[in-house]
Amino acid sequence: MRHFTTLGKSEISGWLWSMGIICLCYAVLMFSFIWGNHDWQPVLNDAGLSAGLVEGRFSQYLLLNLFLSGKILPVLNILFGISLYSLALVLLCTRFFEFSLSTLADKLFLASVASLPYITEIIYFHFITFSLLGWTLVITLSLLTAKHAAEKNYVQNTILSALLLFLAAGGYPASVSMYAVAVCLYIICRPNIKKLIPFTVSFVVALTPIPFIYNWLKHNGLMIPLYNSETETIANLIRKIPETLSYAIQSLYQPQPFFPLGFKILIIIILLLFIICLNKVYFKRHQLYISLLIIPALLLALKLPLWLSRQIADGYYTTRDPTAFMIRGDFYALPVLLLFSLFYLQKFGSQQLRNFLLALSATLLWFNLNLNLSFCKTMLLGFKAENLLLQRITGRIEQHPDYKPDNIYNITQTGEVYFRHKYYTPTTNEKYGFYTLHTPFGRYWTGSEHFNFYAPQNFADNAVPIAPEDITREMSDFIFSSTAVWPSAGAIYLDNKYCIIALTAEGKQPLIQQFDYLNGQIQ
Amino acid sequence: MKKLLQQLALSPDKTDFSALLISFLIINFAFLFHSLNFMWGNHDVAFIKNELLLSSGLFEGRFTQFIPYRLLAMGQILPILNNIIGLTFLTLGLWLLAKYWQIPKSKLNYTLFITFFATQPYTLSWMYFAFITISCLLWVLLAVLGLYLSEQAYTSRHHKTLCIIAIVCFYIPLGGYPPVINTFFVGLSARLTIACLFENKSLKNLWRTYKLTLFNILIAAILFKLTLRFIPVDNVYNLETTPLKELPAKFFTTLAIAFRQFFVTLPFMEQGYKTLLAIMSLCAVTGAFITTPNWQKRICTTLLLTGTIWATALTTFLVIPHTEYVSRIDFYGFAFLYAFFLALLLKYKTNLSHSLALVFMLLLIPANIINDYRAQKVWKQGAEAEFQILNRVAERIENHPDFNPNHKYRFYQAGDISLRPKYYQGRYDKEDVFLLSLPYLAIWQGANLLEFYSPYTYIDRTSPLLPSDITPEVYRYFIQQARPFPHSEAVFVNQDIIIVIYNQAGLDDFREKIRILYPQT
Repeated sequence: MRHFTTLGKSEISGWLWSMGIICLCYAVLMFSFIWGNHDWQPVLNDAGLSAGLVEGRFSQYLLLNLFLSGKILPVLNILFGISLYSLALVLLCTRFFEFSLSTLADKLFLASVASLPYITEIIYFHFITFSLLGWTLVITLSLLTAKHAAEKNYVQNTILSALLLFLAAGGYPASVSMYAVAVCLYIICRPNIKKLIPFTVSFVVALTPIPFIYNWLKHNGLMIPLYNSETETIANLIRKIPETLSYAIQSLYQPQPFFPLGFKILIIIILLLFIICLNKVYFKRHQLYISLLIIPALLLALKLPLWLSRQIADGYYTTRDPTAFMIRGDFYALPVLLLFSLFYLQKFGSQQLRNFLLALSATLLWFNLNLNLSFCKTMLLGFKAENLLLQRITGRIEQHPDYKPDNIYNITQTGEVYFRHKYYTPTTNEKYGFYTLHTPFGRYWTGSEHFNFYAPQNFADNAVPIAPEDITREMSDFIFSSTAVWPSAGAIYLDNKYCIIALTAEGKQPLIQQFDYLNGQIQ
Repeated sequence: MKKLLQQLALSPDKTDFSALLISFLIINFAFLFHSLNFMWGNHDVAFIKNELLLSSGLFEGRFTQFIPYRLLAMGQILPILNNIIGLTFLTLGLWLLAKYWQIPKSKLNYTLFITFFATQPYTLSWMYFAFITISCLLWVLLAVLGLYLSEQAYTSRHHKTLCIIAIVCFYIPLGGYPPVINTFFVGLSARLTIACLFENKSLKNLWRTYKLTLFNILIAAILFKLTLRFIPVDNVYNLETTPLKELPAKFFTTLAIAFRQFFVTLPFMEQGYKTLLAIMSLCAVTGAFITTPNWQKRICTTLLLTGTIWATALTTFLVIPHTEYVSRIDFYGFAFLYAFFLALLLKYKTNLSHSLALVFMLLLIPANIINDYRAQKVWKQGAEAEFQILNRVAERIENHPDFNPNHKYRFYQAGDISLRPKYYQGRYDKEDVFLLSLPYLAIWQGANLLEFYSPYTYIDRTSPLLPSDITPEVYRYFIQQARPFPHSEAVFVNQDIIIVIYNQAGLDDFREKIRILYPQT
């Protein structure tokens, strides 16, 4: 039971260090209580246990309901999430990989990994921040249980490990890449096939039921078919290996918002040093076959969600938020790899290397602080700017001569306005950053959520599309003939039942197409 | 590196670390509201959105001003980090000052000294403008380091190297904010006083030991002046120096100003607070006279104490524009004087002086923190109020039938609104622009402010209002109809121009300007 004893002094100290540094990075968001574009309803109405079923994430809100009764609260959600994540890193380091956390250098490495800006996309979605951060601890416990299975109570511990992994995968499928990366690295510590069996069994047992659960949920109308629930066939998995490996390497050097080239180069240097050290220390001739497998296996594990899931070509998110470059996917993989790399180099490297590593780690920490706080700044200012715009639109609706305060209006927002990028200075060749930078807080499909949020009584409803019989001459003119968009005087159409906000000219196009279709139906 | 630090007695031990950590935590607590709310001032609007460049300070002759920002924050003004980095430098600088002034080393003494200085409301004057917080607090560390190394150079075998480093330590802050020269001379003068009082050094000995420091400061000042010749500097207020022939007369006016500082109250540094500080200062000075054994020593002490007090107004002496009783200049001068008096109380070898020091600190440090929080509350409420006005003005512009967000308008802001004073309840003798009266909605920031939270960029930054924009119709509107905010006639929009009127003074000024175009009416 040595893996499950109470925390030692150095572990508690490491936990507090890493928690402290992440809290420093996100204190501003914690205390400002800012949320993302999926959060309007959950912030208001809490998130029940079944709220994740629509996406097939059947255990998504388990942790949130267990610890916070499903509530999204200022400070606490992020703080608790951070505490679980930091604990996960400490346990991974000391109990799973069995590195020491006694010196100041060790604490620096831990802090520099804990504060990596991969958390940014996790923090964006306040309604799942606690869950997504919490799965790291659940997966760590799953890993420790599987490791313990090799020593004692083989069957029970393997089942427990599988159950924990199953819960994490059921909450956020991409989190399994943390398990896969950790196991690949564990092989370096203990290249004993027998000890790997519990991990393999646990992985297979945990993931096998999931596609069946998805099918059942879809069949019963509880889950909508979405991009993130379709898995690949075996043949496609084999075919996709080279492509996945290629993406894994590309994502290491492709600059993204809050992940500039300098930062990426630093990560690459650490990983290259790790591979070189691995080669010198570990890969002796007779173990060459393992080295030939480990590196590609690690790369595959880094992009496990990409490998396992079926991508929809030309989908809305395929170009804007491609799985290969998803920061929240990298969150589960890269910090584990970097944690292992730094501590491995510290343990087996020469004195010069260790000194160099200290400087690298300090530089990485400096980068992390700057990048995380830059993200916080864009969130703070962008959220405020969008809420101000929301206020002005609401004011214009309320001042409309046809507005009746007792009506509930079917609200259609055409287009979206993005603000966060205005407070960000991009570096060269940056791509993507859909959730970290570009997506607005008020999406066109969350109209009723964000318009009702601060209203004294609900006046907006966008659950029902515009019925053909409700299309009036005035509405038709507004859609087809009027070129007025916000903030022009004629940018809002209002009748007894409908409120249409022409926010942008481009946003009007889908509505025009819909009206064309409806007009065709009427005629 | 460790060996070098040990040789210079700069290697912190357990006591130093404890004092630094406790002080740092208390200081950050004192300004936590400011840090967490990401507060900034009216110079920061464009820099918050964009980035600070190395050249951003050149137009004012502040050629080193933004080096720390580029090195430490990628040229960004970032929430929390901006204050933490700045306060880290300040804490380290004050720790070094405690060593330079040879305050008896203990966790309590160092903590009291560092915390007292850093929590004074003078520090807030450097937090109002977020774009210079880091630099201007770093200058304290560099200034004290320069003084410290200059003194070490006298006895060290590496005196040339130490002198060069000291000169650099003086030169960089001068290139960032020249009034830091107050710190050089207050720090040095205080050190001379301490050497006279506690090390029994004569004036001749003092000159021998500390002439190197003076020499290093002079070289740095000359280099600073020479550097200015190579920089294209605009005609700005803070670089005009007093002509040589006026200096003798100004010496005495400066001395009077220096002494009057004890009694002049500022916002958040009101009568009771200043009186307490004055009593502390009096106790310290009295102690100096009691400690000195003979009249010769007393005369020497008097001269040095007077010199130290005079040095707090050195910038006022050296430059033409009036800089007396300005909080952010006092930060580099007068604030150090209070710290010096506390240092004296801690250094006297009597239980009474230590007890007095403790009592004063038990009263003054909480008073500092309360004043800091009063200021942060006033700043937050004033900013909220002013930005709500800005939002309503933006709304009026957007709702105007002639407004087209794709068009570029020439813009003019008439007047400004300063609302921080509205939330301040207290009395003071001298207004302070940084602590209280500067508006967030400054006239020259109108375009940046309107577009700060706007989805659109609709203001033409390349052109101010043109004479042709003031058509007879526009002229009539502004002479007869226009009113300041919140009147409905406070915002004017047509196809080419947007004009916002915030106050009557601004409107009157604008009317004067446009009357020239239509003299016959």
